[in-house]
Amino acid sequence: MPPVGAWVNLAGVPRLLRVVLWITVALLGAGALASIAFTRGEPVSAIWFVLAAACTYAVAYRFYSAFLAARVLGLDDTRATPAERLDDGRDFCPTNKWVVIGHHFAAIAGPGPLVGPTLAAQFGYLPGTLWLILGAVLGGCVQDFVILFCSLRRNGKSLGQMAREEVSRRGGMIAIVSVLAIMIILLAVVALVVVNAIKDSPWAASTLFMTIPIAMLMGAYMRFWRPGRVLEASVIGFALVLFAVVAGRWVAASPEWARVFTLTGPALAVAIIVYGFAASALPVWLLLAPRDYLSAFIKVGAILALGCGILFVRPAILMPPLTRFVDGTGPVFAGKVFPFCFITIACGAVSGFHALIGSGTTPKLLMREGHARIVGYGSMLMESFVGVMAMVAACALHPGVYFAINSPAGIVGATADKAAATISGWGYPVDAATLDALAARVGEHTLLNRTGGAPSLAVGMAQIFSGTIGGENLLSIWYHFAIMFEALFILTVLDAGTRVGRFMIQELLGHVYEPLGRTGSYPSILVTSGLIVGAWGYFLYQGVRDPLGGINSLWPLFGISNQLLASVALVVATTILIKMGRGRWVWVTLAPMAWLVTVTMTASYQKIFHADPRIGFLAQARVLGEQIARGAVPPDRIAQTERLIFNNQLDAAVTALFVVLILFLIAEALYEWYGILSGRKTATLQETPHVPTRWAEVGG
Amino acid sequence: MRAWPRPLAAACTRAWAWLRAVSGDDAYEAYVSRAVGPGAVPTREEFYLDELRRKYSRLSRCC
Repeated sequence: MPPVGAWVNLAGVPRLLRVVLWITVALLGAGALASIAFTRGEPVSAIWFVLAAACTYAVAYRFYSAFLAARVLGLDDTRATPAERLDDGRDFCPTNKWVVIGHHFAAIAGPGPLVGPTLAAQFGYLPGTLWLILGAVLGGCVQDFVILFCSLRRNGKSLGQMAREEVSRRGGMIAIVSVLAIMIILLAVVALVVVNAIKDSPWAASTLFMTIPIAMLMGAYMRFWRPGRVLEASVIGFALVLFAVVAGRWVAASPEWARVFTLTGPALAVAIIVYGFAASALPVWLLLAPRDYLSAFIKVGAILALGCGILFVRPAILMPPLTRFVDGTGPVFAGKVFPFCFITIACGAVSGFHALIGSGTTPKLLMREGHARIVGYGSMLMESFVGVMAMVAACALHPGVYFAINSPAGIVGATADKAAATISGWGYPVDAATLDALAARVGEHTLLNRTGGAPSLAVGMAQIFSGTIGGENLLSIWYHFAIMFEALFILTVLDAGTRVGRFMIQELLGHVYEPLGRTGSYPSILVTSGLIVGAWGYFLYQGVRDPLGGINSLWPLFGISNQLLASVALVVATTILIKMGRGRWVWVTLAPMAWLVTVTMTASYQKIFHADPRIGFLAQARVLGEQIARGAVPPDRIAQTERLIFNNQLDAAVTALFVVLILFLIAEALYEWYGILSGRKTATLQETPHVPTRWAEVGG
Repeated sequence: MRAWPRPLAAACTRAWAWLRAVSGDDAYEAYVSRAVGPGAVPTREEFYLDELRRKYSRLSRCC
């Protein structure tokens, strides 16, 4: 959903009419928010979600982002941007702002805003929806906008470089180590989502498998036959992928082929680990790049289709506003609504990872400083809206069905009868026949225990799509299209992340042993690819073997790490605002930073020390140890249980590492702030000097 | 056959240009049209491979 204020020029409209218009938009948004917040006992239409989000975004963009641009940051269109001053036609290249928005949105919108809200729907639709909307306008958009601005004023420097120069040398190192650690956890958890979505599903597995030769064919097309013709290759690839979705049904219907593609979780995990290694080590043109092009097109297309589908079908939201699981006993993941709702939904509300994109390619493309507002703040609003749509798709499912799909076998049981009895006992009535019939309608043997959010989102999307085109006849095709769409761009994140992780390890190891730092050396490529894949592969494999479904431990770990990275970004932004002499407005970054630090520290403490073994890593390790000690574990499972104990201790150590790193950075920043504000230290700002733009008179 | 209304045709042209720019389909033409100074302009294939190498050696996708 576009931020309206940015696309509609109201300059020619009389002032009184504009005031009336904005008051109407604000009242409409408030009314829609009140409708979704206070309705009880009857389903709410999804249209209220769309209205609440769109009106809030419009008002926030028109007024809050304008305030940030003018008062807090002082965007200056007379100042030449790095793209103008350093224009080399490659890295630095003045680009039309609508094209930059396309690049930036495609880069920031990954699986997070789809999966996070789907998981957080276990608390009911209300906490997640409010956090998505309000968290974005007051936190996520502010972070993205301010970091983009800071990088823009520093020749496009990265977050790590800015942390080093503006906060402390150690701050830069903390940022780099945090990014690497977060990437390892991120890649493991998104791979786990794919495994849980396609395990024991020959249709989904064969479709996804076919995307590999399709991508390689596209790669050869763009490399040898028509170099660089991205659109031609993407159209061919898209047609072939649609065929693969349909062909997957034939595979599932064939006993021989179905057996080949019916893969268990551990087998799939190994296959994905091997694939990740290959994608990192193979030439980029062969697999990674064509898959990225293909997934970018399908991603944007599917998101647009979902938006249109929601407007057309206007599904009723069947999930209650709040479920009983706000008390922390949720089956999808354990933990109370505070703090766990706010770390489960990271991307879509506030995502630290965006700060890496906003201080990477984007600032090197902006023609004017003023464009940072719509690119930084506006793109994040669009991502937030994607999160709201995912919430709508998940909550349009019957709650009993939602919990059956998303709960691990260890909690609801592995059969439809058992799951239906358990979930009905929670107050969300569902029967085994309904679950079996739904699985058959989407072309699966079962949808039970598919933790990770992707399958329930796919069912929700398929219901919305089939309500628009094809009806019941196309439900199974739409379901597998949605699974393919999610898996495809999750694997793209896996490919690209593994490759970048490899470069980061090469850079770090290059300081220790120079040959390992050579990015073109094949021994170095193989060693460092093995290291990065081994790191996320270990967490993936432990997640697959986890009796609680893996998502219960890995997704919170990812959420904590991502939100802590957002805290790093907001610490850097606050430091720069103080140095700029904008201490009066420092609350714009300080308030979201304080909220995120509170949320993440609480969540980290609970994940490490909570007495409930479903929440606390150490408690779970202790319970498993006690089981071994009193002989409750069969001899053939003792080794596996000991491994689970070690994994829990490792997860606790990783969480503690994140916390220590961030607390250290905050302490350094507080010392810096105190020095500047008390006058004991001179604020040295590392901004590039003002150079007047040559394009002052040019529109745009 | 009637021609498309001019504003519609202009909008389609703009949308097509935007799509090509966002996808990188026109990257080579854009580079060649802006290339200044000494030095040989790379072939389309060389340019494409170099662009890929640069793009995928830094963070380009988020979570």
